[in-house]
Amino acid sequence: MMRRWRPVALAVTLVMVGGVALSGSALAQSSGTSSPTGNKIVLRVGVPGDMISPNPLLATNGDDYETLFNAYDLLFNFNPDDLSPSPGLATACNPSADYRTWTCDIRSGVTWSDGQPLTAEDIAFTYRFIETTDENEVFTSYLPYHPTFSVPNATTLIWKSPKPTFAPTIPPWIPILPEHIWKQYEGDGKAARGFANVPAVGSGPFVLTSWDKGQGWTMEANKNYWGGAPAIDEIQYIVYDSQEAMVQALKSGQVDFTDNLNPTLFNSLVGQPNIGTVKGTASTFTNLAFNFGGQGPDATNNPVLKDLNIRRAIAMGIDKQSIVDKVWQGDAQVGSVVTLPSRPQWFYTPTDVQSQAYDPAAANTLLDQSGYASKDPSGIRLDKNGQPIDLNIITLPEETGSVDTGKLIAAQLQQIGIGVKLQSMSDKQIENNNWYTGDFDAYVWGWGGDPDPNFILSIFITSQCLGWSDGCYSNPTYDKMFAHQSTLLDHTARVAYIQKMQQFIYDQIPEIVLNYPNYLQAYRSDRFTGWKPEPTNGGTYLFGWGNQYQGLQPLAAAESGSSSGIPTVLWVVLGLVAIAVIAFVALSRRRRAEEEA
Amino acid sequence: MTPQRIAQIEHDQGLDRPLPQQFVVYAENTLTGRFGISFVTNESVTTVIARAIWPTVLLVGSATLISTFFGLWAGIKGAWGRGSLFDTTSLFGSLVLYSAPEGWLGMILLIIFVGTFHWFPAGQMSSNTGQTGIANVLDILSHLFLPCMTLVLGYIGEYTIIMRSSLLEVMGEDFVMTARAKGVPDRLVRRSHAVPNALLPTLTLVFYSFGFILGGSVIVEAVFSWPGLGLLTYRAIQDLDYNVIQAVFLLFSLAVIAFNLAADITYGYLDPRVREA
Amino acid sequence: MSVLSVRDLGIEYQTTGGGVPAVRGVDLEVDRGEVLGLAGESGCGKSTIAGAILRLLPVKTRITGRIELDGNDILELTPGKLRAVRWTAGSIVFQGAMHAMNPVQRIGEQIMEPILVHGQSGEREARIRAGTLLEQVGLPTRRLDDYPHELSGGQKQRIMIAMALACSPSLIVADEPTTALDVMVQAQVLQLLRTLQHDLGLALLFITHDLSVLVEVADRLAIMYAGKIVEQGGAEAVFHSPAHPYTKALAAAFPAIGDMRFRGRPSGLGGDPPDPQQIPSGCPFHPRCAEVTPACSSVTPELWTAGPARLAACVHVSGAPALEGVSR
Repeated sequence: MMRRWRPVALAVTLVMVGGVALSGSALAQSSGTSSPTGNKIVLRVGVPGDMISPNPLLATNGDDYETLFNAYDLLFNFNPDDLSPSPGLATACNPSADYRTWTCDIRSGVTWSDGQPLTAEDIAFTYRFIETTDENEVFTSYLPYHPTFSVPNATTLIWKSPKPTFAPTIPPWIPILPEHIWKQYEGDGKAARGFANVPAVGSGPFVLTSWDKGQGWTMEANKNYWGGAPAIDEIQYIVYDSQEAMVQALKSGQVDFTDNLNPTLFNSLVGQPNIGTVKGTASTFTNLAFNFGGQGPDATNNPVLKDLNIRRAIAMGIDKQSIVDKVWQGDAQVGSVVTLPSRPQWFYTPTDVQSQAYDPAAANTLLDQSGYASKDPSGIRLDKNGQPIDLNIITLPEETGSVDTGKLIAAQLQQIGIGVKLQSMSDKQIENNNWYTGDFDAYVWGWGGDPDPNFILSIFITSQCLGWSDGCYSNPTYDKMFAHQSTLLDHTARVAYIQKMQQFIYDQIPEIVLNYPNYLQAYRSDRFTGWKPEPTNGGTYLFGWGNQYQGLQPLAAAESGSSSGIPTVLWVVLGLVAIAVIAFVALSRRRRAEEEA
Repeated sequence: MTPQRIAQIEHDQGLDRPLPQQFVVYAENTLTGRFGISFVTNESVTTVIARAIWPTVLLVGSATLISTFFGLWAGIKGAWGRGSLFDTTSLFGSLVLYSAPEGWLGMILLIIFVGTFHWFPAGQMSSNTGQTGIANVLDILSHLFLPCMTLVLGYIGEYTIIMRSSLLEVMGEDFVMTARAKGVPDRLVRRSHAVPNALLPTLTLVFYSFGFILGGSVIVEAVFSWPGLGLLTYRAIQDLDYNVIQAVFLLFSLAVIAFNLAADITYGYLDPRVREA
Repeated sequence: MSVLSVRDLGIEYQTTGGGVPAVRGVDLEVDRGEVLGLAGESGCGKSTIAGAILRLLPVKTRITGRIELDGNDILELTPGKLRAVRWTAGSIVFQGAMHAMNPVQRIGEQIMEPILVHGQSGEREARIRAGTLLEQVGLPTRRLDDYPHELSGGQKQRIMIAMALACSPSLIVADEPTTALDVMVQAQVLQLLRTLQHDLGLALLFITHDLSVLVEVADRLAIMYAGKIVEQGGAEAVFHSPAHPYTKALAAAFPAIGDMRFRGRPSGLGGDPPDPQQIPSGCPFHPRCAEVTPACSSVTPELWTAGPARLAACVHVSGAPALEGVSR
């Protein structure tokens, strides 16, 4: 029985071992020839997470948006210098004198990737489709006041708004969809969200051809792209759940680009041969957003947070620089306002930035004077009802830095007598459980957003409660200010007024902007050239504001394929070692057999 | 998202019903193999698991075979030559590997074989270059190598130690002395007397550990982005994809039970004393 | 000519605590057709001798002297030669048949194994021979397909005997073959051994601590104490009129059923056997001896003549040199 079992197990195991051992040569073969399969020039992009969906109605994360950017056109592109609108599908949009009617000139001769012509009809369809079908309200805010659209001819789109608006020039971040594909789902949100959209018919420079869920997705060049055929033939996005693996893949040349690295790994790549690093300045900010209640009867927000003095004391009690140093290892700037340093035409420095500078002593004094002087035995201040001030703060493990930031904040607030209970959960969990019910006091998260500040300013208005609002902040003064800025059609006047709004938010502290982290990327400098940072000054090389791939030119290494895999010499050595081992075993068996005979 | 839409979702998921009723529905669905819809991908959980199960079987299966074979081999060789250079090195190595966390082992392999030598892919299950046939098989094997080696290194130490101590115990038994006295060559004493008896407790332990390997592959699959049950679990926990988590944990529990049963059956097959009882 | 001849055998186990001398200069002879009984307390070295005869002791053990088995100088054989001699020249019936058989192998295979290993016949003939052997020890042939756990203690011991006979050895060493058995079964197994020995003309070295068993089986007796033979002679004579005080104590410890002398006072031997690493000076038995004299702690007794064909290592025996204060 045992004698029969053994050879079988041995054979099976040897086959497995042999197979696995052979695999090295497989890589040597596959990567030696596959990268430019049939002389295809492939850009391989390592990403730390998968797409959630290539269906625009489900678009959520950066990967989704990057894919949509490549697969579709927007009404306008973004000028890389200042991220202002530049000619895209529309070459220009001109307002009427009352800014209620916009006439857009649409490019002619554009075709969808399936060969159908793209006309102004498709754009009008897309905008109506968003109005009727985007139940999750991903894009509706770009079409304020329920505008109507008409198409006098194939190259003209008329946008009529009941109120004056500059919405077409923000511009609307809405992928233009082919009417002949999406028409069937119009008005049926559930069916529309159920549409897989792989492969996707689009008009962008690349076509989404396949998505291997959890592993990555592939986009092929649209050689008929109206802006000119991309020099590369294909983009492969490869998902790495561990950033360490992604970085090793870059080092060994298995990917040409890695997105969104954490500072530790990023720093390990600086100065490595054939690797370039990209430090994109602040396309996001991280914040500590307070909950003001208003979600409904289940909201558990601590009412003490409605006291501005409490919020100001918290702001003074948080050492933003220590978060930059410890959490971001220096790769961030101290935060202040809700616009971003990378958008210089909007970014604003508050007049009284010293008033919220880190000063725990001043924070304690402020709290003492505001009626929170008494403390419980553990040193936590009591509110006016005699309850200890304990804040339930949520952090998100999948948001880089969130958890560590939360820990620092908890320790720092302890110094000013405010207790913090940290709770760590995923963004989906927050959305599913806490966010809709208002079951939290604050959370550490962040925002990115459009180049135009219209959107980020909108999240603080009362009507955004349970929409994009962080914690149902409500202030009638601010609501009026926001409504007013929407009517400011003169750019200079709007810039000035928006600075005023930023100052207002800074002073009222509905949330504390903690810092502006750098966006860290790395790439193989020996494989492609022609990277186009967006914004031009300090922007990222990919995952920026569209049209970053067309200019990429392969270098010699990309054309000849990667050199990874086990070198032939090593295989010869391994083979010799294997033969030596087998010979040794065979000989020693024979020697033993002789001894025993 | 409007409150109406939230209510709609809650209704679709059956979350607006009373808890006892939800439980009855859950029990009924589970027993009839309906695990619901993944919150994240909107696919049925069965589909999601079916897609992930074979990569895990391939990874865990090959790693188990290799680690069992070499672990038992090293344990036997070590015990038979107790105190030899081989024995002391393999025992030391086993203890080191046994106590090393898998995620860490995976990182080390990544840094050595991917970052430094560029020999193997850093993750995933295939190169996604559309190759077919032998080239595809070889491609998958090259992706399998590192995660498989990580698991092998993680488990081989345990198997070596178990086999070694088990065989040492058996070597002191009288029937081994009987076999020697009969003039049976050393090799045969080991093969037909000592090892078959030492394998009994070892195989039981090995089988028990199989059941846990499925769950244990979570870390390795996450490190190497291997699209199996482990990675599915890892992501489902991150995303709080409850339906997937429930189904996967049920599956893991079933695996433990199934392998315990398999261990009992195998034990009966290997040991005549158990067979008749 | 003797089948087994042991000359000046010394055996020292190597432990981390230093060498442990288990056997210290033993001479033994077993002739063809003769049964030699070797008796002594646990730890006196008798089982060590059994192991030494087939060189089964741990590799590091130091063995001096000479063992000649069926004309083979056991201690000088190459490993290959030694393997060939094992079980063909001499075999062993181990004590505790319970553990001496492989629990996961059928007994048929275990009996056939030495036949096949030594190339004495092919598989088929070996199986027939195994069946014959089973019948010889009084078990039906079909038992070949049983596993050890399916047999009773007595049956297992019979199997061990059948196994020992498999290669028709010149000598069988029976190492406590009946110790673990109840009295009835013990008697049957003894009967079987005696019959087989007689019928096959075997040389048998019978090792036990039970003198009353030996007197029924053995032609001659050798009594061991602390690694040495202390008395030798014909079985009946040694048992019924022991010359050495230790033999006396040993014989007295086993009541002869029906013998009025033992009634009411089963006699024992006080104290423990000496630690092999700290053997007392002079006669090693003197601290426990009922007939101890002042000379006993200084004079190391040798095997002196103690009557016709009798030897004993005691200052009291007739062949001992005259010593002051020692009575005979």
